Amino acid sequence: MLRIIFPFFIDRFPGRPLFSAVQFSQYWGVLILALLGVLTGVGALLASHMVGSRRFYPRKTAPYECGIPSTGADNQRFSVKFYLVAVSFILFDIETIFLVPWAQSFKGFVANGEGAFIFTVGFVFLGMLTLGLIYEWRKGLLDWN
Amino acid sequence: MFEVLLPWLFLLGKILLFFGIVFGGVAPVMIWVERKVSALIQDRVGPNRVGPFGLLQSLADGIKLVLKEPLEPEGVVKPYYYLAPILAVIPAALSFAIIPFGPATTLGGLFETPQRLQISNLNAGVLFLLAVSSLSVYGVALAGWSSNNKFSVMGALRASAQMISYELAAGLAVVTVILLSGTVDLVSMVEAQSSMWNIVPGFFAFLVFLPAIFAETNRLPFDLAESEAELVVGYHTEYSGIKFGLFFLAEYAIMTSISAVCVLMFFGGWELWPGFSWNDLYAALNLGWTTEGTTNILGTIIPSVWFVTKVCAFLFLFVWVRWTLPRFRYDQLMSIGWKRLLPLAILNITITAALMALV
Repeated sequence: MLRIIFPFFIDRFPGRPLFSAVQFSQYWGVLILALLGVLTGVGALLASHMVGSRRFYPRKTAPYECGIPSTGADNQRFSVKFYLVAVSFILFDIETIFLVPWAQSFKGFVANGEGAFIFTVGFVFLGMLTLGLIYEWRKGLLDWN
Repeated sequence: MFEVLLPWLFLLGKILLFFGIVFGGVAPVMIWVERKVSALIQDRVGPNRVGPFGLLQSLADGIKLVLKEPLEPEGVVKPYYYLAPILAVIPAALSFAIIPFGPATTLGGLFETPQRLQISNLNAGVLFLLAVSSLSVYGVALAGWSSNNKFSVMGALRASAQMISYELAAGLAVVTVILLSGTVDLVSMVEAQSSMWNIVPGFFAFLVFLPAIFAETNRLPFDLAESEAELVVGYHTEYSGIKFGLFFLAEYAIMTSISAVCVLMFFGGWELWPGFSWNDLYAALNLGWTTEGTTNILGTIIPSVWFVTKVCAFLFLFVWVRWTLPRFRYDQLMSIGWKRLLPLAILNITITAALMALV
């Protein structure tokens, strides 16, 4: 089944399993930590619900607004800038992730005498990233006035 | 039977040790340190009533927070309102998964081959930490959005925009460190620094990384998300009692793990000194110890304590900066992230790579 979905991977690394069992077993620690995190959160909330005092009255549960009754809706419209920042974050973050394998294999290439090649590859890629940044800058996307 | 159980016991032991120390020890003590240092800087006394030097203040506060009424403000979106503090704690807990807190050890000969003092040896390495720290945006954004409060919405928006903006600069600084060490694995990074700590060749990466982690943890001078003069306390305005306590706990836990990563990436982890390792010291003293701890487990424990000391120094820096520097304006914050740190990080990668390819 995996061979059909990921034929590229299977052929690329013949004889190497797609998910190695040793590596996968390392994720037990992550799972246990996540469970501990959930337990801490849920446990604290439950404990507070069980032992906490309860003296609610309407004024107390009103949303905080500097002591005056709240006016208007809370989910008002907000600047489109926040959305633009999120979009450009996704672009740049993916490009950063692409740089990681390049950086990791850099030393090996230099040791093989192919330093100029690997540097040029990274330089072109970084140059495109920079061009995108300059474009955003010139378009005024980074100004918050 | 014991052979099968031993790796599991070791894993559970590491998890309980780390989780217990950070959530039960470092976070409460850090809150106390924060208040004591702020008092010192502002020429006050600080907490001094509960326990010696007020050390048990955090414990008393914790008990008080649990006993407070579980107030549920009017008009909140209930499922998300309760989910948000839990979502804030989970990334904080997950961030410990890849942090090694000492050299590989046999635990005094218990194991035949040295085992890593790291909860999970993931092949993603430091990338896992970047991924997890991005996840903490969800807790913040949900908390603000579900709270039915204008301050919360504004605070959450600011916090999210700021966290993702500085994530880029931090990520590019990490790329420089990966370039220098040739690996994403934190243990191998420490081993690669035995002759020279990364702070020297990666000084500019550190200059980018340090403000970026301050901004990602929403600490002053970048705590625009909860700037009390403008937004009350931002995204957790409507959270009280232990629900607020969970956000607080998560903040200090993330701060701890990020400090640890900073020490591992730039300051040689548990290495004693550049060019002078613990094994050299043990040999010079004729102790017959190794960091693997085969003959004496102290050989492993002392480097671990040294690592914890470095992390504590970093945590102190967090507190020191918080009570010394004033807050930025929001437009300044965004322009520092996008117009200063990001170009500097890109330039730094290019120059580092050029130097490595040429020299």
